[in-house]
Amino acid sequence: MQRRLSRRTVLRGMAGGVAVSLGLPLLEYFLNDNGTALAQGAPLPLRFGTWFWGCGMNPDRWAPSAEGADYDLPAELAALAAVRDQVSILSGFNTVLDGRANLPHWTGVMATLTGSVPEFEPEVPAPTLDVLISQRIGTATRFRSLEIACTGVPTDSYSRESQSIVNSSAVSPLELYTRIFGPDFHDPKDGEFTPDPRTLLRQSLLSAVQEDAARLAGVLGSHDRQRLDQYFTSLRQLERQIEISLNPLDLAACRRPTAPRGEEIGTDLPQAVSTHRLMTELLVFALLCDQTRVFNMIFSWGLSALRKEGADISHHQLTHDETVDAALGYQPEATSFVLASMQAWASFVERLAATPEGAGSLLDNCLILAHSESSFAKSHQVTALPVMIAGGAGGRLRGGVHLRGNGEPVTRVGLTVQQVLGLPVSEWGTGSLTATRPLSELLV
Amino acid sequence: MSILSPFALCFRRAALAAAALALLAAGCAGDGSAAAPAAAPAVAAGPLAMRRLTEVQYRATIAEVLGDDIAVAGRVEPDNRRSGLLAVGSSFVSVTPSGFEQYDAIARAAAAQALDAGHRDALVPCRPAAPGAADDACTAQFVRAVGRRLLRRPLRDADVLPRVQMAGAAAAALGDFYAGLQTALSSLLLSPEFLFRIETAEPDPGAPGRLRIDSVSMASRLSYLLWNAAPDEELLAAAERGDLVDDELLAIQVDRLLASPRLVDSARAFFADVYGFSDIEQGLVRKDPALFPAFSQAMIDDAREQTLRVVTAHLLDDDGDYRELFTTRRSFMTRALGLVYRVPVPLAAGWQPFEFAADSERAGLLTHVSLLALYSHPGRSSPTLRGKFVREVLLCQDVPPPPGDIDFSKFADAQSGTLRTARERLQAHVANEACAGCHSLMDPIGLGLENMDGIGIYRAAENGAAIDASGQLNGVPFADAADLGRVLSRDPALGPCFVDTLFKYAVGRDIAPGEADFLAYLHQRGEQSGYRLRELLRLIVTSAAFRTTSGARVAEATPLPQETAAPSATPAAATPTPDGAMSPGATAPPTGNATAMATATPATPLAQPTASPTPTAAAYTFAALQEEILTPRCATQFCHSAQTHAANLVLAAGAAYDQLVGSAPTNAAAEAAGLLRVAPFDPEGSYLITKLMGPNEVALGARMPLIGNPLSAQEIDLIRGWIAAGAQP
Repeated sequence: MQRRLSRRTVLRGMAGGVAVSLGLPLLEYFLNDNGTALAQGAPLPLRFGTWFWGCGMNPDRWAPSAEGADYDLPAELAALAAVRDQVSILSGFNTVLDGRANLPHWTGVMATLTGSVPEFEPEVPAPTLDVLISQRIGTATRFRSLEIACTGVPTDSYSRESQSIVNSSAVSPLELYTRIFGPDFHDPKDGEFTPDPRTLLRQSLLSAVQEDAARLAGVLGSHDRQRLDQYFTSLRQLERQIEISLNPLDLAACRRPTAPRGEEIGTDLPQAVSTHRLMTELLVFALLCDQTRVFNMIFSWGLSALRKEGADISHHQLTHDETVDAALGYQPEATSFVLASMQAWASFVERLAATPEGAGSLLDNCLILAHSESSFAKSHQVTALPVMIAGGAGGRLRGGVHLRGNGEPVTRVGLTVQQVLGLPVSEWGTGSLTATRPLSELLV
Repeated sequence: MSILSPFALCFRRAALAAAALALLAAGCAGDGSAAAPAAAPAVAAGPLAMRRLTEVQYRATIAEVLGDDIAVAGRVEPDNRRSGLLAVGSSFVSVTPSGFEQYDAIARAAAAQALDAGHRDALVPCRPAAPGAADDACTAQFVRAVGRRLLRRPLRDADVLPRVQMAGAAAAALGDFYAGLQTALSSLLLSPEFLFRIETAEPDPGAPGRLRIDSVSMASRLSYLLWNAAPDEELLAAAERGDLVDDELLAIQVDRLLASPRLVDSARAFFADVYGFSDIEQGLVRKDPALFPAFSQAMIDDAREQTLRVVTAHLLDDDGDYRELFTTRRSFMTRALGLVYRVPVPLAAGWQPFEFAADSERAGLLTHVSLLALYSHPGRSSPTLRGKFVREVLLCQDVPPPPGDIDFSKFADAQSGTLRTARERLQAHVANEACAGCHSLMDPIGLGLENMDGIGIYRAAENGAAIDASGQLNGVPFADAADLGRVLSRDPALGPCFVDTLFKYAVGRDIAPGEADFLAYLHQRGEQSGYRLRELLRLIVTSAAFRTTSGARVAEATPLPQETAAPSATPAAATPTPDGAMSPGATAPPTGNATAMATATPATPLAQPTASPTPTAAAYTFAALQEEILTPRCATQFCHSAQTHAANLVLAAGAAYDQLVGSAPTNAAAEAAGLLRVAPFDPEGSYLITKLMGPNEVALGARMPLIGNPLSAQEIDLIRGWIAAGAQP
């Protein structure tokens, strides 16, 4: 059982009683004084996102040698040069198997996101971090969370409540655009807003459906009852969407982007990079318009299907089949995908950092967890996992430090993330993955 | 009008009067067709759980009830595979927020089309008094009629009245009667009883203490299995009369459904699910255009259609033996497929029957472009994926997951530049023990299909080296792809696997322990009569396994955290990160009590995996070692069983002691180090202990057991103790 504490208590504990008062009130400083913040005068929202790439990296070429701020950038982190002071590198955190099998390309990501080692693939031992967090910070927006995948497979999503309940990903920019900025999106700057009477009718329609479902609850067994509860949750989210579309927010920074063309999607690298770029654009607009506060971006899946154009073999296959070059000490072809992934990640961070919001940037109000399912993918290694955290989390996080885990469980990252985002959790994970201490080095 | 085979009659009579069974069976043997059907054994059927309509069923149901020209545009929440089947996954999934959005958008679009000026008269059984105003009577008539078809049951006032009221308000607000009906229809399309097939059970008067699926629930159970669609009027009427819990009356409906041409939809849905064709349907099979210029979505759509046509022509039109699907040379072609199969197709458009020549390299489903392209990578073929498909999907033999703790970096790297064929590349895998165990289950089968490239085009050579497609399947040699199909068709696991998969598909869950005898009976019946699809379906749907249940499925231990008390109208801006302790109600646990269905006896949970017993004996005996560790962990089907004898080591009861104690290991490094497999009185000189602890040198091989968790320190200490005490037999 998780013990629940207030976030204030947690922060006080983390900081050893010193300077606790800084974290929370910082938000207040971002309040609008020149029309750039939320029109209602409320604080800028805090967002959580994940950014995932498949098949890890080469630990020796990725982890900086110096700890702390102004860390060095080894070859596989070189792409982060422009945003180093906004990205913290967490190296050397492990999945502790407790004698369980290391399920290739599955165990590592489940450990990071659920705090537990799964028994089999595709078991999801507990709801993933983003699901826990969206229940806390995602309930007021039109979308509880947005899932995005860049290589064309809707089931490429680690946002899961359980093995069977998967929040599937949008795979085409046009599909994502239509979902967010389609007919149900209203920006008061577009002109006078008159709610469609049909929208009002949709509310009563959903009430009728809700009554159907409520009648069922009494006759279902416990398994189906849980599934019906999920159905209810989803129905309520749609109700909330309708309410919001009837009372659209007037946000100075919000603009409807132009619709992307219905373009190709696929697994070859240039295509994936292009899809990622368009998806990032749409996400930025969605965040500025406060359509969601939680997102999950999959650049490539754990079994990375990324390919060079015309190549007969994918990134994942390369990690296993390609020889480690004796002179170089790594697999040159497979590693080229690591570099490309880090470039995509850097471009993502740069885009958010370059987007003004309030007195700072959009990135300042985000906490983005970047991770992969393995470190050295050739051997499915789940020790020394690559983890990064970008963004200031509304003034709660120090940016740009390198922290060594020295084999500590990767769940310390998930615990820290939850506490920073206000979840009253003092302990997270199971077995040897149980984490009780957040990464105080990251905290302001 | 119904076609009753002598066998069906016989079986039904047998089912009617179990006491008179022996007599009847003897009488039926004289009917000639098959040997006397033995009695179906007693069944303790599995649990009941609601099933979400699969995407195909969802679309088919809307088309059937609202009209097949109603466009259901847009994506539907992806189905989820479990135990190899989307049909089984459908009894676990729910609806996510984005899934609900999609259902909502489709519902509104479909309702608008179905009630537009061109369609409304076909759907609405009455005319409003005035088209610009509400008409409660007509609305009620519409909701009852359409709702009964969509929800697959008669409607109650509680279903109808709120919708009449809602439609009335909408009609008044919008000045349009049909706009009111649209809201009512949309709400039906979002109802959980439309999106899910929710079945109810009732006490079986003929068998005290047992629950049977009630008549109305049986209608959907039958029609989604046998037609892959909602029940038609006749079946619904029969269900409402209570016919479907009566043996004879049920048989009449079963005969009618099985005799209908719509049975084709059932076979197509089943094979599309088993073969994973949803990936093709959703455009997820992608190939590199530079390497495979002949590939297109239109071509792969044709390839899928070709396979389904061959399957239904053979199994239904010809009532053929399932096993012959893997040898048949009969096929159908389009011109687009002709380019890939390299055969002339005179017909410019549409389908034409085609027969591969007797000396063709193609015969049977394994040489179909659909399966060859699906079980390949985007840039090349994959003997491993193809072999895994045959092993797991067609033979129902589990291939263990790859071991997670292999350090590939320590293996001598293959010189990939010099390896030209898939066989050469894969031999690099199989050359090391940790990979060989599982790859040897898959690759030799898939290598038999290597003459077909990543989209199924024939090739004699790869990178200039001739392809050797010979190999063996479970010890039986084959020469090439067509021959592999012949060997597969004779494999004893093929037919029973078909039966088991069909059964799981029919009931939407795994086989329950109390159904094992019934499955064995079905295997036997299949073996006797050639695994005919119609006969198997009839046996399944008339069985107690299909018609009864142990009760509602019980939730697994870990409840889903659900937000049940979310603030519904909090303005977005007013919720910065909440501070303070979360109130206990904010993440309330699911409210569901373990309410079993209706009156039921307490529901039986699904079999829970049990932890292996922990050995505790003070002086550990070999008998205990054999029973607690060697037999369950080592002598498994694919490892140290008598059949597989990996590393030439058999650890099954009877053989293990002699193979272990005092024997030299086959591992060269271990032998050179002077280790014995088990050296009595010397645990540290025993290679067994090294292997169980995890060798620290690559040359000593992988840690055992290869599959699953390592033994605990406590278990290894017990074995150590047994060796130290002299390794007594």
